[in-house]
Amino acid sequence: MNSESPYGRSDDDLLRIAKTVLSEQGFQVESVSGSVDLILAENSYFVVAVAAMNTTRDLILAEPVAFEALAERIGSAALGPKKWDTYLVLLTQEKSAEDDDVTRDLYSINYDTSRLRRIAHTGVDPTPEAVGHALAPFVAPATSATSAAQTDALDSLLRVLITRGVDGQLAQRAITAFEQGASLDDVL
Amino acid sequence: MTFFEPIIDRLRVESFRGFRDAREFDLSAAAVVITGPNGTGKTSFFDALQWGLLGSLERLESLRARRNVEHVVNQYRLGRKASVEIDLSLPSGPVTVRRTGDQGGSTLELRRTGETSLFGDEAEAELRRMLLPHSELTLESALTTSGLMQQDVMRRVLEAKPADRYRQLSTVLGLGALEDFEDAARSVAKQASEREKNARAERARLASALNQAQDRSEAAKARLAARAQVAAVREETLDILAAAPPGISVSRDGLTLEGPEDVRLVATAFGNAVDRVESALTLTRRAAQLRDGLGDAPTEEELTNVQAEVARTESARDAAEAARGVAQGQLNAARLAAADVAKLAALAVPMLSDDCPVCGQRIDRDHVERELRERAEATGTILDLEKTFVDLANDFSRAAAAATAALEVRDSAEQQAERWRHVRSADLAAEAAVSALVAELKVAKFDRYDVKSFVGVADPGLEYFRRARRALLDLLETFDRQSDQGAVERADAEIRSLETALASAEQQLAAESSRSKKLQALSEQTLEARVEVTEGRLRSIQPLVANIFQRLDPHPAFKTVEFELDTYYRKGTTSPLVIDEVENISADPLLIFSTSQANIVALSYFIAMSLSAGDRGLPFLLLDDPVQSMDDVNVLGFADLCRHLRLRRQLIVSTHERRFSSLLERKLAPRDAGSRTKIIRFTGWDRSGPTVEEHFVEAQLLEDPIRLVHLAG
Repeated sequence: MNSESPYGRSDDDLLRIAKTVLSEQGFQVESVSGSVDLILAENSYFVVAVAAMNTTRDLILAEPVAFEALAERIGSAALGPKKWDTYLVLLTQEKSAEDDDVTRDLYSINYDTSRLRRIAHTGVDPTPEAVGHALAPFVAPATSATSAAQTDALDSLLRVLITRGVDGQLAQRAITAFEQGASLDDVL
Repeated sequence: MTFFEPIIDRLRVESFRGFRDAREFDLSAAAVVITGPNGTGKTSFFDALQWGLLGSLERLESLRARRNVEHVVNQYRLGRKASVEIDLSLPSGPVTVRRTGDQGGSTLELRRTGETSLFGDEAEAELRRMLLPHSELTLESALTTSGLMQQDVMRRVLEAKPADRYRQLSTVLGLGALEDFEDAARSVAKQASEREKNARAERARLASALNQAQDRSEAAKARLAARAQVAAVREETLDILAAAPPGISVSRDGLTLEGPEDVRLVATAFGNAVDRVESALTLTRRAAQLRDGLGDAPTEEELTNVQAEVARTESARDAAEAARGVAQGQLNAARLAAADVAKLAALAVPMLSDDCPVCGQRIDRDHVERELRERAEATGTILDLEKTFVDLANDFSRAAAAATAALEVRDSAEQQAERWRHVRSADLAAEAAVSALVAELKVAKFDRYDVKSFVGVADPGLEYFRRARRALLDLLETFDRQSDQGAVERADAEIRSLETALASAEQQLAAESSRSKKLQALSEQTLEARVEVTEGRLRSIQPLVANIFQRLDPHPAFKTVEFELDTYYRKGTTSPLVIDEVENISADPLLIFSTSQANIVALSYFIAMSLSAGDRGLPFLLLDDPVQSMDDVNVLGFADLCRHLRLRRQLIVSTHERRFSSLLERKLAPRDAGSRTKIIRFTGWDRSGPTVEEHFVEAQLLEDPIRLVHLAG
């Protein structure tokens, strides 16, 4: 469901997912309605406001509005050192067009570091992975459950060999012999 | 929030690179920020950590080969040993490692409280085991690929050859064993293929040998069927031997033709008889030829007479020659005298008057001269002498002819005598050859051994001996029939043996072929499986690399980084790619990125390697000036990333940019009592070494950590 605002339609799916992602990362999260709907998230290090729009054009139009709304809130709260760690994240599912004006606008949003940091992401799929990716600065980098640390390389090789039709016993004997430092020619 | 417990507690450096005097750093913090202008010793600080742990400085390794360049010991302390001491706080307890040495080498000492110190290789191995307890990586490999990133080796990952990068990546991902296993599988498949080839060659050899044995057996059998019976041929042979011509007798009792050896001996004897008789017959025929038409032999008296005649006629010829010589001399002298007179007359002629004073006739001078000359030469003396000379010359001719005739007679007589000598010599040889036959002929006897008798019986005898020898050879061939039988038996036995061996070789070949096929499949599938496993591993780390890269966000379009995996000549290769997902374009970052952007790719890769290694990796992350040339937004992204990194690793990061150090000091300031952040500021450098200020960052404890959201709520 998308909500209408004078600056375009918010993408409620992305907002919902962003809320979940940030909650799972230990943030306190609150939805804030206004000219532009926001997800407001906070932990001891960051204050993050997330806006999600249907189109890139809406995102560009909504950015100053959301920025002012967030700045106003910061000004009214004694955030202490966190005032330097406040981010406005703008998301849209629409992929960034080849339009140079849009590219320039997005560039100026991302590279304007005055007052508070703004990060604009286009082409964000409505999935926890994609949204988590867009919110990466506030999310701990996750290592895959199947990374090198988790499984023995030769065990993986054995499984793949068997699935590829190699005689299981032969492959097992070969790998066992190799692990024991024996000559494969003697064993196979 | 749980912070990573510091591992490197303290670092003490003396006489090492930029440090002349001893300097100690307290690093007991989850995050340590090293800051200060360039040239104040920050890189020497990281060098000290690297040298202390490894005993080498990768970025300066090229200097090691230069004999006179000391790149380890401080230039004001040349001749002494550099010293780096590191206190480590490990789960197993505190450990201190101390390395001393110079560019020529170093020694590591490892100390634990209450234990005997370890030195050298033992200490190195123990240090590796303590820092990488769950990994097979070498400390050097772990440190250089995911532990310590120095500014000038930062891009080495990107610039490495694809195959080197693949090995580096494989090692960090714990896949080094796969390539070794693949090599082993390929090697054993090759050996199996070689064995199969040998088994195939052995089978072919045995099959060929079997064919040859079968051919031999068939041929022997055919010969056997075509041969006559031995007994009949033997009787025929004995009959032939008994049919000796008149004048020659053969004793049948002495001839044994039982076995092939007996026959061979008798055949040899008859062959010998043929040769001897042929030889004696040749000699007798030669003697007869020499005598044929020769006439009588001159007697000794006749020879003496002809020689005396030769002497006499030669003496007469010599005497006639001498007399002719004397006459020749006299005639020559007379002719010379007459010539002188003629010359005088010729000289006198010009003095004559034109007319004769007596008769008044005209005088013809030429006529007078000619007349005078003729009269001088035709004097009586000269004519007598000429006649004498001619007579004596004729005498000489006759004597010479007589001498020549006498010589011819003598030579003819002597030649006849010589021919007769030859005849007698040939007769003697023929007689000797014939007489020798008594002893030489073992199988037959002539009735008489004189030449005349021999000549009469030799031709039929020769014919007999030849016929007998032929018959004996035929008998021998017949005996070969027996050996054909043996050959058949031998060939059949060989065939049976070869058939057994061939069957065994067929089995061996089938086994080797099956084994080779299986191992070939294993080898080929291992290559594919290794690529699949590596791709899987790479895919598992890929999101992390992309995640880190996106946090730093160096490029407005190319926002994703990946590593493309390929197999080139059975070797894995890895190439980095940055991707513009909107336009679906990918490219090598070294080609399209600026230096700082490419550095961010390398930094993403390095940090991802460290984090993905989990507890198999080193427990610290040392980053020497990672943000040089980065844009502000990249720096901000990196500062936020550092907040996460210090939760996984002890983070020691340096920068020469004051703004970034301030940012890090603020971003990494503890917000609870359980963590510490240390700032080490290199403020300058003098000959004693860096001047350093250190302090722990004051914690920014928040009274109300969640304020804005609560207000919004």
